[in-house]
Amino acid sequence: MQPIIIAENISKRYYIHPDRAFRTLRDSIANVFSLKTHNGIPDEFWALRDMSFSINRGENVGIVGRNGAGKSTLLKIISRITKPTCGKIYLQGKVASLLELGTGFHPELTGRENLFLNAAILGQSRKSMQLKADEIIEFSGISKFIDTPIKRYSSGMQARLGFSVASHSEGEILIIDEIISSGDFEFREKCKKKINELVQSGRTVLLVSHNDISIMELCSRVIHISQGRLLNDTKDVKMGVKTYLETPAGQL
Amino acid sequence: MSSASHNKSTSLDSSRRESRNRATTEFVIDSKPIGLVAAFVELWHTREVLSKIIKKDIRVQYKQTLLGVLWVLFRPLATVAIFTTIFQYVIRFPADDTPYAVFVMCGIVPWMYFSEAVRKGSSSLQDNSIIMTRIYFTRIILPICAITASLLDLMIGVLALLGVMLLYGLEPKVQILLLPLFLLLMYLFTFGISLCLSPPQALFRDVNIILTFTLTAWMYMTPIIYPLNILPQKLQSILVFNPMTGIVQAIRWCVIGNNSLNWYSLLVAIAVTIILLAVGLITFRNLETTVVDQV
Repeated sequence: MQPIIIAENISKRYYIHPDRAFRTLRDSIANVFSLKTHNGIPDEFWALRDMSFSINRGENVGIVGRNGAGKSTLLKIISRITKPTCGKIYLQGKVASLLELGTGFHPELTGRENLFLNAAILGQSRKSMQLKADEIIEFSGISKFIDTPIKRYSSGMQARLGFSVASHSEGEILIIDEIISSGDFEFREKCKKKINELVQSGRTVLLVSHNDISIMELCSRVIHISQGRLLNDTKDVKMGVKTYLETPAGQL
Repeated sequence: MSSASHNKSTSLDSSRRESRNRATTEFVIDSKPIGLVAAFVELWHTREVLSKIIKKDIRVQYKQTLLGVLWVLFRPLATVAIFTTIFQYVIRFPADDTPYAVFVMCGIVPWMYFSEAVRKGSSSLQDNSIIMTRIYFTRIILPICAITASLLDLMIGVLALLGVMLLYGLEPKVQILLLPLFLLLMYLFTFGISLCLSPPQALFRDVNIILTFTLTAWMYMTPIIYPLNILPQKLQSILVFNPMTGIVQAIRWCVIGNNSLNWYSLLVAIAVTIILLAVGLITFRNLETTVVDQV
């Protein structure tokens, strides 16, 4: 088996400013002159701490952890949205990520226009997109509304379109963050089938979900993150999910 | 216990490194900003996204306006009409022996592009902060798209300018063929400013306020509604350091061509543009991740 993602000692530090919604120049200039933050210590927060793992081509990994454990930060680093504070990740393939509902959708444009825009952002050529467009629209099940502006879509319809675009992209690594749960039952089943197909064809899938059943049904490996650290990494999916559920709730 | 696990992880690291060397590593993610060459390669690969987003910006801009493109004509023409009324009939500015309307329009049309594109380019990261935190793409396309979408307005403005010239019975001279070159210079100057300002503006809301005020003052410090040579010599030698002076003067020379080209102010504009582009690229590359983490 060949590793497709190798993470070495990934850490990510954020600065939090508890009393400010946004920074102003005045605060920053004041800080430079007084050489300290407002209460003397910098408000730093380590979202990820020293995380190392290796994922093989064709694995379907479920990532579990409570809110604020660092799952999204990890996915953001793998999909290059943000950079780690230290540590390295080696990637052997293209990443297509779907981190939130309606990513990259523009409300004024129609579903079809957004489809092409989104596919272009996910790194697909116009030619391959033109071939696939009908298939994607068919898969999403919203062909009736495909020429309606996105702003009139329900959140479920947006999720359908989003998943359809991402799952038909050419990325070798597919990252899906809690997106399936917004579709209805029928579409969830369709998504699961599609994810299984992708894994069968050698794609690597990273799936974040709070729905333990879909993790157990879909994944062949579970990575459990707690307070920014890797707590458990096992191929025994049932055991992994069970350990996660039994871990006492910590303070956020 | 901790030392044992540390040993284990280092031996694991070396075995990983071996397996990594066998396969070619496609991409390494670390804390450093992406290399300059890699950034340009990436930009080249995203040219399709670029054209998509530019088309999107243009379409969205006109989608829910009834008159659509007509508004683009209306704005410079109305401004020119107002300035002409005031400065030709009330204050009586000299205008290089040209009808004042043509004279002022040579300055207004590029300035309208400049101020609009600088404002959009500088707010491009702030405007797109949501998509920036959810999907990766070469972020530099955001200011590029913002300042490129407004080029359509500029083109329509230039056509309107030529139309007004013909109305006054003026014919363009040969040097009008150089106009695209000077418009390109203005585009690059705008790009440099946008690169420098877009990350700070996403981080500090003050930048927008300062910029709005600066642009208003800047317009009056550029020979748009008045010819440079009516100013006292001292003021003229200061205004020459304003890159927009060189650009507007060069455009006016292209279109009207009564005076000779002011090389000195043009060279200042070119030099400032090159410096801004270099400073902007460095600023942008170093701050883009900070923007993602803090917006």
